[in-house]
Amino acid sequence: MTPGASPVTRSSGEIPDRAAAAGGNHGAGMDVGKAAALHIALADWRRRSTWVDMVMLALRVSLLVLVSAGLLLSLAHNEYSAADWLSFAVFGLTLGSIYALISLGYTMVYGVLRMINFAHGDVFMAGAFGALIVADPLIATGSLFAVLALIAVGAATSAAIAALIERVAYRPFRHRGTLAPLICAIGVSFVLQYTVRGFFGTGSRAYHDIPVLDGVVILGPLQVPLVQLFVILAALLAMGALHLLVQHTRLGASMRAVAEDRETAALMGINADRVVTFTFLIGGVMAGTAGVLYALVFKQIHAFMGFAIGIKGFAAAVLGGIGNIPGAMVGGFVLGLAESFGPAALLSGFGIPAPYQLKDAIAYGLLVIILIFRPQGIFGERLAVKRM
Amino acid sequence: MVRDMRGAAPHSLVLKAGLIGGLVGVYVVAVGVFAAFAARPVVAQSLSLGQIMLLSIALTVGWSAADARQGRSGGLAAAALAGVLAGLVYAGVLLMAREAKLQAMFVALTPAALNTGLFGRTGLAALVAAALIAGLAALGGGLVRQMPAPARRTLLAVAIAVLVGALLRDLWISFFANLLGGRWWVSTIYTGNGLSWTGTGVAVAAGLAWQALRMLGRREAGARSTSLIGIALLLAAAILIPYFTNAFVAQVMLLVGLYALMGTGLNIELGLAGLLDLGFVAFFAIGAYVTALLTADSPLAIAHLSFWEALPIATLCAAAGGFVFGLPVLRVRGDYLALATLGLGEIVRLLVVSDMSAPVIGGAQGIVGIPRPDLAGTPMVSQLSLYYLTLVLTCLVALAGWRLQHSPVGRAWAAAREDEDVAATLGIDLVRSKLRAYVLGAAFAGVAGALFATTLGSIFPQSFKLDVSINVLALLVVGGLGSLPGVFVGSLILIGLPEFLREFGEYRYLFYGFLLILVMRVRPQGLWPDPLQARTS
Amino acid sequence: MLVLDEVSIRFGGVQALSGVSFRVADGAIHSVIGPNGAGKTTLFNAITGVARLSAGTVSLAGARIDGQPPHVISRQGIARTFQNVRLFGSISVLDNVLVAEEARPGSVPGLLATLACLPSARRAEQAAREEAMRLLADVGLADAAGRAARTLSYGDQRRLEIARALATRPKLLLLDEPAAGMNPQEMARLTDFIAGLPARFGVTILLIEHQMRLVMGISDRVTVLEYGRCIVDGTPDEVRAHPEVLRAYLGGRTATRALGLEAAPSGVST
Repeated sequence: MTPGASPVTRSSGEIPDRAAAAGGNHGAGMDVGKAAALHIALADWRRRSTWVDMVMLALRVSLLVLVSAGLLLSLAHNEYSAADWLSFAVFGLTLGSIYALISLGYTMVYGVLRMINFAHGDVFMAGAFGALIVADPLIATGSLFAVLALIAVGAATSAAIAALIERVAYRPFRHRGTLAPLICAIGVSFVLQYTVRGFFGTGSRAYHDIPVLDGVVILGPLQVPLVQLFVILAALLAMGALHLLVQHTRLGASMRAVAEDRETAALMGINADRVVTFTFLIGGVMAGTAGVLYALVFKQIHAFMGFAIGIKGFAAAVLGGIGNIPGAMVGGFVLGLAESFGPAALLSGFGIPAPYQLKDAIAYGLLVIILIFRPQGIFGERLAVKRM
Repeated sequence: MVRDMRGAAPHSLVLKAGLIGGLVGVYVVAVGVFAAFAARPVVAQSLSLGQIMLLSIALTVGWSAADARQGRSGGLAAAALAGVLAGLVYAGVLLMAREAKLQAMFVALTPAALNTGLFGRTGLAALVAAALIAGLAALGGGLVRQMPAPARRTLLAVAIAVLVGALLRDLWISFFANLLGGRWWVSTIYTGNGLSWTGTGVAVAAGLAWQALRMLGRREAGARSTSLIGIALLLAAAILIPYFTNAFVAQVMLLVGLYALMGTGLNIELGLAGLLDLGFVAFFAIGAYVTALLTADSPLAIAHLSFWEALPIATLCAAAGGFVFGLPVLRVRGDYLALATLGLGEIVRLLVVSDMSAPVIGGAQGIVGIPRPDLAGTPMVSQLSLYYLTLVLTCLVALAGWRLQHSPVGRAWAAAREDEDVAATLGIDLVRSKLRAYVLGAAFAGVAGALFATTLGSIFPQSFKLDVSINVLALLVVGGLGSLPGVFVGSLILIGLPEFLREFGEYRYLFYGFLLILVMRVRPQGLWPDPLQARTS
Repeated sequence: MLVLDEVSIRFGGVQALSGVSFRVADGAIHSVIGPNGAGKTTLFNAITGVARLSAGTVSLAGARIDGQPPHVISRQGIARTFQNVRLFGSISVLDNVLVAEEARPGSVPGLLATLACLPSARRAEQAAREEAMRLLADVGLADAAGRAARTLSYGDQRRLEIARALATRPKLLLLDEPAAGMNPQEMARLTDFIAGLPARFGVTILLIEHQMRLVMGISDRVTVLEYGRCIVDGTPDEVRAHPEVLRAYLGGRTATRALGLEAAPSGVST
């Protein structure tokens, strides 16, 4: 065939018939009725889809059916009073504020480095133990100031550990593939867990009651433990401070610049290593704060608690769209609420015995579902370039 | 002393090495490793493993302080100085800890541990002793650094030989008893729990001989034949060692084989296809539970098949589980995949222990009464026969793994691992390719699970925690990702060794953690890497 | 062979391609030129299914392929190379080609046959290996078959990438700046090589290139893109003479030189 004989044209007009018939997304189907348009769209979808897409659709539908059936059945059972639901809500917000604080560390590190700090949950745990060392004498003073000092100690411990981890275990892999830093991070996670276990023993360690935070606040029909309100408030304050830091300081601006585009930021004279260190420090501060707050609510801490809570913090970060700081905060609260409502609102309807044993499964399930169906999270990643 | 004007000042290096070394020493004591190691004698009654650990820290301090730029004597002086500093820091902190009575907070800082850590001395005497010992050891480290490489390698071989001789005492003793026919050997080579002086001499000689052999071998054979010889030796050892030793050794080797089996499976996912699966244990659990339900003499059992009938069913069920899990999850990329699979694995574990599933699979009480497999009508009761069963299955699975790696299927995995987008534009169906890796990995884990159930005779949910996945991951990384012989080497070192070092079982995962970081930083291709990757990386 | 009809792509707020239409004739060498950022590589991504179309259709040999996943499109006979060479670096040169050879459906038997080491599987693998070696010999890389791909020189990597694409037995081969970074001798060799491809392998070629000498010498037809639009589509002579190309794309005297008006290379057979 000898090409190139036709005159110069802006476009070569002819369209194959099949293409015109199936062309659901442009001019062809304009004046055909709605049903026909739908039919064409459906045919086009079937043309594009593979069997995997069909399976995924089926999975999506069955999940939706299962969740709505669970919700309806649970509501029909009506085992819980309004006060129960309200206290679930407050507890969910308490948990959620802790998750939100942890998720910030994941999200910020992901923002600047495009890596998941697998050991971040253990940084959180280390904060709680760091504060434990000074907890007894501080709590004995009985003042609110002592509680703040406790938080400061926890935050400092976690920040130092996070920065150390970055220096020793992550920095050497800055420019290598995905797998090496992740495996290294798993190693770090185990080192932290078993170090704390070696230092502080196998069993749980207790935080003693703090008189200033003992007691309940009566809100209408509801008795809310003061500790829970304190935790929510403290977490909100910490997040507010972080927001100010990121949006209104030079350091925050460099962080955002590095997250946007590391090379350009480097050309503008931003020292990426320093920004990364600061990011880990700040993430550590948030995680350490969360660690102490967790200890205040639950009173018992142990060396392996960072694992499950770390995964949930990560889930919160993904929920909000990883790399997205306000998203992580919202994601934390969503996850906390889901975990506290879930067993009652979803599982009890199916007549599952002891649904509370499965509350972690709900959080993990949410993580898996969001990773499968909407990895960019509820609000979308704030990042222009995604990691491969 | 030669003064050096280039680069960082030598004294800052000395300061850094000394401080870090001292603090590492304190860490080792505070975390409790030292006390556990101190209970294990290595040479006669005079050198414990704990002391060796402290000495090797000081040695490392000297090594890193003896910067080549400072010249010979300057380097040695710096090494010694750094060692003295490390000793002072170490003893100083421990003395303060003893004064402050920190045991209520830090459980490992018992008076006994502190006393051993401070060489049984108090106050100034402890400081001086620590400074002296650490200084001398660091001087040694500096000397080692300045040695020519062959001498250094020989020294390392000797040190390893002594450690292997001392720490694998149980293995050697059963060897002597069975092979060389005599308690006489045992009493000559060992005193108490450690090597006698004669034994140390034998170990040193063995180390020297080994090094000589290695140097000869390197001169004569190419890389390929050494690798083949290595595999042949490994196989011979795997067949013969348990036969000539005792039931305990057979049991340990069985465990090693079981993990090698799982390692081969995860190697397909991670090493070949590049999928980091942290929910791997779920398929191991499926294999074990299916076998239990099909064979056990228990009210929960749904059938009374023999192990041989249950094994293929369990394998198929695990593979089906891999398919069901894999299909949705495998479109998730990179690190997300690790967390998605981790989440799935944890969900499975939570479901298994929950009351919800208790009527079906026993909940936290597990399933008991799983029979041993029959061979020609007689049940295989001895550890040795079960070990050989494991060995046969492991070899079969390893062969399958080898075949896959060097087939079109394996090449498609390699392509997708290297660059997904390009692989897709060449016509490789990524979902199908990954799903194959995932299903095969799951099937191999299922075989391991079935074996696990039948050899133990009972299964409990606690056996199927994340730790299993991490064990398998660690042994792959240590052996070399994507390398089949590496799976076996990693399994021997990470699964077999700790069984002989029972004292430190508690710190096993601490070492795993450090090992993962160390291997990734120092030797990311692993101890026995795949030939092509070894050549190119 | 290939028909693009009103193809548009937008990323977020950026309109990368708007209403691009042209057709590539069977057995032709068809070039796409245009300034940087004109959307040439995006066009390739649109054809291979890597980028999602926001409007328009792409058809290969009469069947629509837009919207399908990349591997499905590839199997219908489209292969490509990349602007910045993308080889599987840590596997061997031979395996790079073999992967593509074996990705064709039906070229090697399935998983179970492979696992069982059936003779048919062995034979198919052997055949694929011989075929791959023949391709490597064709591009002059037979001696390097056992080396890891990343150890090749830059020019050899380019040729290996073309061999890998050819191993999928494409009907249409997309080459994205194959001459980038080559010296004049290498480029001349490459020009001859590309010019010979349609006859030797029965492929149609769609080429993105900045080296006008190469483009004008071997193309049967040239499409000019600017700002995601197709401004001209015609034979090299027509494009060379077209005022809009001279104005929009190149402008002034440099244009005449760049378009090879002064010394159109001869002796290149199509």
